[in-house]
This record gives sequence, structure tokens and C-alpha cells, in this order.
Amino acid sequence: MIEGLMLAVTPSYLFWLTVGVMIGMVVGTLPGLTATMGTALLVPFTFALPPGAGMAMLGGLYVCAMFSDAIPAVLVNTPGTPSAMATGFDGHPMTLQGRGQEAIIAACFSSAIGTLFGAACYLLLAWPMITIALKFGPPEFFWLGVFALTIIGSLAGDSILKGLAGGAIGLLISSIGISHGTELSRFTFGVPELRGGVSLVAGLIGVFAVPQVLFMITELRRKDFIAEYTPKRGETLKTIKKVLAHPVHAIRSAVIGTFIGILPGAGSPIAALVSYNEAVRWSKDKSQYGKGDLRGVTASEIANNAAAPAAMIPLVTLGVPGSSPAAVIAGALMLRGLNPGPELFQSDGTLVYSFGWSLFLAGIVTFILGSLFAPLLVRIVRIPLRLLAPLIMLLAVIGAYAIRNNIFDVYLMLGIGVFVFFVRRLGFHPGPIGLGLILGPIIEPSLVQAMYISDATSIGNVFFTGTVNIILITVTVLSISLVAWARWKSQKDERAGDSGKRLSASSID
Amino acid sequence: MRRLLDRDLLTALLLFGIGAVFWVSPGADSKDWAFPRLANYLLLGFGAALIVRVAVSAIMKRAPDAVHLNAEQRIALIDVFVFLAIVLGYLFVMYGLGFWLSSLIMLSLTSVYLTLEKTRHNLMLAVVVPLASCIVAYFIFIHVFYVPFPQPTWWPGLN
Repeated sequence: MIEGLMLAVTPSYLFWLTVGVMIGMVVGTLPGLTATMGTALLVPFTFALPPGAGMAMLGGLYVCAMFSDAIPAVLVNTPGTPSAMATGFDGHPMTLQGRGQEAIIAACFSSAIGTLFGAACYLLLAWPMITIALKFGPPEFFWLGVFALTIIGSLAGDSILKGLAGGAIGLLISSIGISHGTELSRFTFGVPELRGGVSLVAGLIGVFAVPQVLFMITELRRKDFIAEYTPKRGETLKTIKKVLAHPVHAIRSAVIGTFIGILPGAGSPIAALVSYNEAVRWSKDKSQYGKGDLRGVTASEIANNAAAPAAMIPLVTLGVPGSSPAAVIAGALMLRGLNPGPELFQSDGTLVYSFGWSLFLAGIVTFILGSLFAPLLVRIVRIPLRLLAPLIMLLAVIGAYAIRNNIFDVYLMLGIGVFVFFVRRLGFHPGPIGLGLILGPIIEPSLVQAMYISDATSIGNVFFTGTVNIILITVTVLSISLVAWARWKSQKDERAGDSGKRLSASSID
Repeated sequence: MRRLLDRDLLTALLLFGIGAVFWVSPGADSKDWAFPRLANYLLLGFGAALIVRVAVSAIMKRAPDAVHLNAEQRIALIDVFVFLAIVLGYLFVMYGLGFWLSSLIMLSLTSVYLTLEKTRHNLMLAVVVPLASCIVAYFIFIHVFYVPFPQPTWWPGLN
């Protein structure tokens, strides 16, 4: 491990790590460009470098993209990648309150905390953690997805029914295309392009970016900019103190992110959403979440960044990548004749540990660069809406197109965006629709695989036995009960408040 | 009439509409359809619950939460429709003019339309900013990320 550290801190490794971080900053900030795409584009350049330096560059890109995707989520309510969806729930309201710089610095510092925690687990706890991850099969993933759906309780806004309906709409949209069972075309309505399904990135851009652009246009006659912004000195230190004022919250988010990160297929978006939900659940004062609570930003960012190094744990221990960028990094290793898995630990342990240290250092470099650029980036909110709205639309079109080089995805993105813009007027929140889009591709394949397994035994045996299943079902039921209880209590309090006001008004009369 | 514009009623009708689009016959193979069918039943269940809520509010004679557009919101919606029309036109001409020229035209047209105070300075900005943005985006997406954007077909060789 020490040899790995010595290698990771050599100037050439640090240089390539910083290059990766800077590219990651661009990739994450531009909606539609994902960390997967960025790492894949960078792989050919790593061949000219020593394996460790190349891995450091790829790791730096991955880690930084998990932070920089928060920048558009915070400033213009458009997540740069699906992982930043939850960051926007509180980050954008903070921007509207003139606290954009604080939100970005909080996201940056939280990302560093998450990365450091995830990388420390990679370096110290890889083997014990992987034994837990191996207990997760299709039924467990199904229940994990169902548990993640309970997040709707935190995102639904005023109407829980509309929140749940939004989630169901997202799940239905995600089921368009080839089925996971016998590979049938579903809901394609005779349109061949729909056989490939709705691209998650295009769908999320549609759910978040397009309605935001249209909303900006409706606001055009009332205000010139997204929000007022005046640069503040000493903001970085103040924000760091605010983030560190909630140590339990930070540790919980990091643990959730790391644990979900090591589950192959779950990834950073689920980690961020589950962490956000748990932050709301365990908070004494829930009223500020969704309205600009700093803890909403930190919960999401700590978890999605902790999940990034954690996704490398199954890669280096079992040879199974924990996320799509990890799969690209696995490919980069294999192209060099290095097979990821237990053998790599034995044959090239220094490389494995130097990669872990590079991920650790990437968290620090990301924080330094992010906090340096934050005051500059926040100036986006001072671009006049009349110029900014068309620019975001252009980036949305490029993002939706670039993911599969398919213009049909742009039409889908626009259609979903217009739909979400209008249903918002009926009381829907875009969050649950986006959540359904993200969770559908995780829940359905797990459900189908578990159904295939149940052919040999029974549905009850597959879905309702096993320690992990029982824990997840219990936690899900508890979660739903808590949401229902909290809503009932807040409605009761509101009613009591109203009758109290009426009583005092009548006594004044 | 106001009750017909109740948000819950309109939402329920919307959910029934979506449910009808995603309806699956029960005879189909369960593994292919279990997931969307489950999601659809949930959707229809929520729609039914909203209808019950509307009915209860009507019986209790509570004022409906009706969708309402004031004059300012109507003007804002016209802006949205014009913007969307330009974007749709952009997606159509993209096949002919190629990605970058059509993007420049879309950006300039929308920026000029959305510029309410049409002073010489503002109009200049509405043309210069899109041009600069297209040049920067061109270099990032073509030369760094190698995205193969649609090529012009009306005048090949334009890009």
C-alpha cells in the first residue's frame, strides 16, 4: 500500500491526475456528456502513459465528473449527469436565494468528503465489503429498487398521490423498448426507433432541462436573470464549517454511497437518491428540504462521490465493474493485458493500491479546483435569461443527441420536456418522474431474472426469503409507514395551526 | 365549469389517458409484461383515488383547485409556444442545413424573439452571443468529444 502511495504522489502521476480532473470538470458540467463517455474517450490517450498514470487520469475524470455534474444542477436546475438529480432539489433553490456560490462550494467539499471516504474503503476494506455485496442477487436488487422508490415520499411536493403517479409514469416510460424477458417490442407503436427504448440521459434532460428552459421563458417578463449574485469573500471557509457542522449526516451519506457503490449495477444516481431520502428521514427539521437546505446538497454529493471509488471495489476484487465508468476502466486495463480481479491484487498489487491512492488524491484536487472556479461558475446566473434559455436548449439538444448519436432521442427529449412542463401546472414534481426513469432499468431486469429463478422454486421462496430480502422489505415497509405518519402529522399540525389562528382572530374581533 | 378545471380531475383524466396508451392485455407472457402492467395498475389506482377525492370535495362542497391563467401567464405561454415552434423548425431544418448552421439560426432567432427591449445593443448581443457559443461548442464537441453531428443535405459541403 505504501508503494502505491509513493507512486501516486510522483509529479507525473499527479500531473495526469490533474488533467483527468480538468477534463472531468468539463464532462460533468455539460449535460448529456456522462462520466462513462468521458472515460471511454480518454482511454486511447492512456496508452501512451504508464498503466498507473493512465488509471490515475481516468479515475480523476470519473471522480471530478461526479462533482461537476452538480454545477448545472445547482445553477440552472439541469443535472449534468443522472447522479446529480438529487443535488438540484435543494441546490437550485439555494441559487434562487442568491446562495449559488455556497451551494457549489458545499457540493465541491461534500464531493471531496465522499471521495476520500470511498477511496479509504477501497484501500482498507475492499475484501470485507465485497462479501456483503456478493449476497445481492436479482431479488435483492428488486427490493433495493423498490426501497429506492420510497424516496418519492420526500420528492412528491404537496400531493403524495401525484408524486406516486409521477413515479409510475417514469417507470412506464422506462419500459418502452425491447423487453427483458423474451425480447419483445413493447410500447413502440410502430416506431422502429423506440425499440431501443428511451435513453436515460435524454429522458432526464427532458424531465429537468427542457421544463426549466420553458419556465425561464415564462419568467422573462418578470426578471432578467436566474438570480441575483454578489461574490462573497471567505465563502469557502464558511461553507466548509456549515458542512462539517453535521458530522453524523456526512458519515451516514458516505456509508450509504459507499455501500450502494459496491453493488454492481446500482451506481451513483441510486446512492445519491437513497442518501437524500435518508437525510430527510433522519432530519429533525424536514421543512427546509426542497427549499434550499444545504444538507440536501451535501447528502446527494457525498453519496454519489463515495459511490465512485466504491464502484472500483468489485472491479479489483472480483473483476466485476460496479458502474459503467468502472466497466470502461476495466476495459482499459484489459487492453493492456491486465485482468481485473483477485489475480491483479497478487500480480500487480502496487498498481491496484496506486489507483486507490489516485482516487483519494482526486478528491483533494477536485476540491481545490472546484473551490477556485466556483465564484467564476456562479456568474452563469447573471447571464440574461433571454440569452441563457436558448443556450441551455442547445446544450440539451447536443446532450440528448450525443449519447447515442440519434436525432430521435432529441425528439423524445423535447416531447418529455413539454409534457413535464405542462403537468407541473397540475401539481406534478419532476423528481418522481426522473426517479422512475432511473429506477425502471434497475427494477425490471431484476424482477424478470428473479421470476426466471422462481420458475425452479416459487415466487415466495425467491422474493420473501433470505436475510437481505427480509431486511430490505422491512426497511421499505418502515419507510412507507414513516412517510405516511410524517404527512399525517404535518397535516394535523397545519389543521391545528389553522384552527388556532381562527380562534385568536375571533378573540381579537 | 370551474370543477371541470379542477387539477385533481384533470390529473386523473391524464393518468387514465396514459394508462390506456400503456394498457397490456392480460394474456401476454407475464415475464415480458409484469413490470409495465404493475406500473400501469398503480397509475390507474392513483387516477381512481384522485377521482374519489374530487367526488368527496364535490359532495362536501369544497372549492375546487382549478387551473387558472391570468393575462400575464397567457402572454408567457405564447412566448413558450413561439419558442417551441422555432425549436421544432430547427429540428426540421437540421436535416437540410446541418447541425451547426441550423443551431446558429435557432439560437439567434430565439434570442432575438426573447429580447423584449429591442435596442441596437441588445439585438447585437442576441446575434453575437449565439455565434460565439456555436464556435466554442463546435470546437468542444467536434474536436474534443468527436460527436458526429448531422451533416447538411440541401447543400452538401456546407459544414
